[in-house]
Amino acid sequence: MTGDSRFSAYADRTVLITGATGFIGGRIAERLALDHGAHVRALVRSFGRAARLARLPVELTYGELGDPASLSAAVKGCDVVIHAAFDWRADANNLAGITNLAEACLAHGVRRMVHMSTMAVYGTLPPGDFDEASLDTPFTAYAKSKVTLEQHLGTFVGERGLPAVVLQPTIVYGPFSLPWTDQPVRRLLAGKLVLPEDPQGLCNAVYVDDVVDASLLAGLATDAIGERFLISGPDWPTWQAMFESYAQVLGVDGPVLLPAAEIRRRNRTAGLTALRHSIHNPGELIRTLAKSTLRAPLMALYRRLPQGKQAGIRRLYTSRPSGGPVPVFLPNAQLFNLYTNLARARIDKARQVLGYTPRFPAERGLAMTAEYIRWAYPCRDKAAA
Amino acid sequence: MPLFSAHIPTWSFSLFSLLQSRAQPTNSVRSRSIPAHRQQNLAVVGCGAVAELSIVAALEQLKLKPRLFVDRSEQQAEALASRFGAAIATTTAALTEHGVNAAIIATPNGAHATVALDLLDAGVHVLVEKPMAVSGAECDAMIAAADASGACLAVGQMYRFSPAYRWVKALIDAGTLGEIRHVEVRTGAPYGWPLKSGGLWRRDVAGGGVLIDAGVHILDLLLWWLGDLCVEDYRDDNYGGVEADCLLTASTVSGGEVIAEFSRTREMPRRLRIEGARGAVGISLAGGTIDELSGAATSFDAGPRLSRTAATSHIQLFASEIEDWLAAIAARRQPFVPGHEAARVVRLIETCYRQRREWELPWMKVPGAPHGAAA
Repeated sequence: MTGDSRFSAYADRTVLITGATGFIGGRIAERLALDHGAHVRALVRSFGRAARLARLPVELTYGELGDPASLSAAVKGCDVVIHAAFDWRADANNLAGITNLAEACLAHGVRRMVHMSTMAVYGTLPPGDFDEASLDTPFTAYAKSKVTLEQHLGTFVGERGLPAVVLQPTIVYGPFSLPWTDQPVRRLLAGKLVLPEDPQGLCNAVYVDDVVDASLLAGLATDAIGERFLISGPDWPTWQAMFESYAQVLGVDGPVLLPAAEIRRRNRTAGLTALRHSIHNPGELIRTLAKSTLRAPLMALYRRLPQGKQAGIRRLYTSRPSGGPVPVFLPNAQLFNLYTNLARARIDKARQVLGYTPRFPAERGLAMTAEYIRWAYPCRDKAAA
Repeated sequence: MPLFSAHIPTWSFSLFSLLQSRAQPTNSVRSRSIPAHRQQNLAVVGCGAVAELSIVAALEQLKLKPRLFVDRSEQQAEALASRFGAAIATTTAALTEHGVNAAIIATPNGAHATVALDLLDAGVHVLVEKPMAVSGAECDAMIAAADASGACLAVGQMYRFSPAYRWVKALIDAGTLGEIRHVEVRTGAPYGWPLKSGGLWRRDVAGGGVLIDAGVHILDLLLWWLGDLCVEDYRDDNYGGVEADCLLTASTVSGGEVIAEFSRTREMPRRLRIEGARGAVGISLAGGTIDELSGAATSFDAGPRLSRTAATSHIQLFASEIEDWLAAIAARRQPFVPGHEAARVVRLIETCYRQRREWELPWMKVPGAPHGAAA
């Protein structure tokens, strides 16, 4: 059990986690079950995605955000509900989900609901510090959705007395972080990862265990209800430093710096470049499709093909890149904004109200992440990527 | 005397040798149908993801029409039965009523032995999916039940039907590689089967995690190719559930080193390499093909019946094991993978779990929060 007395209250609590098959929810489940002796119940929509979660002594409960009955059954008997799920398939499910979850929490007298939002609600910010009082100017569909969810939850808090807290993690990296660790690593392995040369953007990085600390604190803190908290790390490394760190572990070239104008010029012909790459490496295209949401219908088509054609597709699927241009991963508009960011998240409110103290400066978090990368990418040569 | 016994008395040795010599998988499952005289009154017991995605497709390829689909969920049974116009049932008690004399068991691992014992005791021929069972004791009971009733017990260790893997077997058996010095296999990918339930994630239902689910294929091949293995070290990341990643170090009887790593969370190289004193062979497990030969292995000729380049889909492998099992029943011979063969890998896995150590992954522990692994 934990040596951290701040979380000892969880030892006799039941905690429902939505999104526990994912990155942040999964790590919260690990910490609660293994370090703090909580009874963890995980809402699972797709059992096939629960391999990591299944290593733990947790209760897996089938449920859908859009299904009030399954949510009510999952919430019943829980002291704390941590809502870390986000449905990328249909945004309507997210609004329905938070409504159903909030109703279930009220119906079953849940002591605290913690909702995982995002720093992205603030959109593109000017250089300098920002905090929870900054204006919401969401830039992406994801961020717009998260703003709506925060507002909707606020109504439940204000009008119905729901004891909910909102967390806004920044760039959450670490083991199993798909967007900020695994994807950059795969790109560094497979080709050239491009960053804007000027300015050298700051990354509001937070190691995943700091987000877990904040989540657990938010589940207990007495003065936190109805508030939202930015959750970031104690420092602001540059994006280049982050990705250089990954590259060093991998033993590959670091990110390539290009002027903004050059990135814009290349982005205009990115489609053509991707096409050229696919022609040279059709296997990569097939592997991408096999991992996409189109997998099931494509597999159905594949099974109808003659044996010879199936064998040909299998050969391509297992083939390694055979040449052609080295893939160049240019930042799209959203990433460009992020990579040139000079705004710095302030976490004073979380420090004061939640008692949040980040434990992982970038150097330490990246050192831990390096251990993960060595383990997760045992075949670290470019060809195998 | 039970026909499929593994313990054959001396007087029947010549007959057994003859039957064993025929216990080779056919090498030509190309959407052809099973001859009528080999067809049985079939049932499929367990209608989850494996049955839906693999067994049914193999049955269709072989143009076989089961009479009955059995599952605790009528809905799941119906979903598969409707493709064949077959009947459904929620328990195996219905097998007799439908005149079933041969059943494919694709239930969760933990139920393999219970279901198989019931059927074998009743004289029903059984093809049980891998792993044969979740303990050596269960395997022994199944073998004894088959011996007693004379039913044919085959196990779906389907990799043994791959032409390329049989070529490797011939290569090693011929001694071409010389003494085996080093074997290394690292395989797996983020898990993605569309599971119908959470049973695979429960130790009491699945019998374990990635080792018994995916590792069972590779370890069975290694036992088949190399003979018995001695477990030197086994570690995994089970913290009170079922492991998603594991690492095994073992040795062959002659002292060769074996390293095997299996994962449900990482993109692994999916490659197996065997290095001997006189040559080496490398295998792409993703495609089931040989992608490296060196030394004496380059000039090895396994004969016209074994192709090291033939790619085989997993549906074809399922079809091959079903075809072999039906042929074994019809010819009253041992199947290509009988119970006593498949039991070896179950015993090896049992030893691994018994000797388990926690795989210490640095990021799992947070400063100030030491945790002890459960189970």
